[in-house]
Amino acid sequence: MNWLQLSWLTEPWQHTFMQHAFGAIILVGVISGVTGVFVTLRGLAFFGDALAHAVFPGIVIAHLVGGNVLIGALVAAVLVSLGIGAIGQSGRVSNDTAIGILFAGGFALGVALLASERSYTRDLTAFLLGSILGVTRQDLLLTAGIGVLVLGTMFWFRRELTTVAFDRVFAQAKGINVWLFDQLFLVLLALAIVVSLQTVGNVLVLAMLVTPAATARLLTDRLRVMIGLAALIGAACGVAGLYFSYYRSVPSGASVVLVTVGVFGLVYLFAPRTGVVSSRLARRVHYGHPERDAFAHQPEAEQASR
Amino acid sequence: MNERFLAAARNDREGEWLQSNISSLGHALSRTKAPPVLAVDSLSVHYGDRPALCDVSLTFSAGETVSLVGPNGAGKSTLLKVLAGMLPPSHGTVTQAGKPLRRPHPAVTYVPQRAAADWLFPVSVLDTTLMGTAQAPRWRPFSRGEKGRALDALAMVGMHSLADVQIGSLSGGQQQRVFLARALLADGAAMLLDEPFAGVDVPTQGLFVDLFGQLQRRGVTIIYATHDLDQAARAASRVVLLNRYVIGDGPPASQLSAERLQAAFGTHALMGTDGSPG
Repeated sequence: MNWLQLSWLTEPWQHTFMQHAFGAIILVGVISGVTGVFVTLRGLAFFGDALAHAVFPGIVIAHLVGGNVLIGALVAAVLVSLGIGAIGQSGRVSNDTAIGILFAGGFALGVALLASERSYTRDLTAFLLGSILGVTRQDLLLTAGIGVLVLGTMFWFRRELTTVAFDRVFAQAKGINVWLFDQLFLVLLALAIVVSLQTVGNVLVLAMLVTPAATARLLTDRLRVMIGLAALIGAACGVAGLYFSYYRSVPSGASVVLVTVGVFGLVYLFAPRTGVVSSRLARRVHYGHPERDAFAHQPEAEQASR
Repeated sequence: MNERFLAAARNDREGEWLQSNISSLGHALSRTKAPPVLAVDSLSVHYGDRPALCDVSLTFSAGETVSLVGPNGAGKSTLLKVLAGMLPPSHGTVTQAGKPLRRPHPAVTYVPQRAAADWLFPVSVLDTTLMGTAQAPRWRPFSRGEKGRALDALAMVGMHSLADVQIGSLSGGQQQRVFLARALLADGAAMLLDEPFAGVDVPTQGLFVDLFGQLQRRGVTIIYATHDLDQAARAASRVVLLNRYVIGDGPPASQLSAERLQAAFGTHALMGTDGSPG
């Protein structure tokens, strides 16, 4: 392969299954990126992971009875999130312990149910690692539809979701039904997870939710910019990961996640203001001239930059 | 200036009306004609078995600055949440302008404790203030007018120049100023503040006292919880001593006496407040 000719960029697009795969990963990148912003800001990463695993029995049951896999997953997700809320409210078991219990319990139930199937191993692998090359046109349309629903709802209620995430007590005082918006967000999160399952698989879906959003947070202090960046990073890393997967025969889910984590690592080290390496370099330059800086120091500026 | 004059004139007219009708009650009753801005009657609140407030009856009229003083766990925050319509009472009633208050009302603004917010959140000072905007259509971003009003509110608390700064990079006092600006934007008849002076620098405290004075003159009722007796004496026109029950209620000078405070705080707490009362 001649890397200079750039034909390697267009080659994968000649296959229909790769076109579908690119379409799916872009959609998933955008949907999970945007949803993930609120997951990371509200510290719901563990919850998201639990939800991804706990939808497993729902999917298996729907698969066994020949029902709609998406509906099965959604029902399971809602049941699990309500269950976590109920156990967490008992006062003796903390929320993340409740998540841990239902997370593992749900997943075990799924495995047990699936074991009755003859194609057990194949199905389990597809579920765990995704099967992006098997995405059909119909899957793509469904993903797009759900994406419009999730992103549209988040846009419509953006002010409530932001206020609840930033300052719950104030949100309550403003008359926002905090409980209702928590539940709404969990349903949106469940939808985002379910549409990501086929592309990246159950084990790696968390990476698509958390990593692009975390990368975006390192680059900006503005929520709007963070949402845009997370969507862009999610989609771009997805596409790059698919190329890598195509040429190196790495499973697509793993490949996409590795690219996402790699980009996070680069930004973590070298982001203009927040990067570990770049800020250290900047500090070295900064403290090179203490006598000059003494005059530049204003109390207000000092507080603002803290 | 004009507004104040009109308000004074209105008060006089009400006074005349009252004096001609119920002459024996005198001018002092002129304020009681309109229903109180906020009132609680025989209020009790329980968290499970634990009582937080017992048999509290209080009325708050327009233009009062009331400080709720009491030790930790005295029910100050609970009372504020009930008055904000966020917490239903176990017994008794809450009324806002004469009507029962069952849920948060736009006329009542609540300023939570600073610790309640997520300060790492990626919002600017202006974004935070805009959260106080009452009703903006969902389909569009905030308009120039709405942003202008938010900047005006920030200017009132001296935070105008830091509008684009991330909220978490501010000092404690500056954060509390932004919270106050957000509350000013709601333009309510009553403002409830939970520990507005906690962890706030001296200039900010002074600014708050001035601002409370301005709001008071505009007829806004301000009720704030504090355990800082100095601030209670300086900023408030009325002090309510609270320790689950109402221990005392009246002008600062009468309430912040040694015996009263001992009744509210107990002996141990009083040792820490040496010199402050009076």
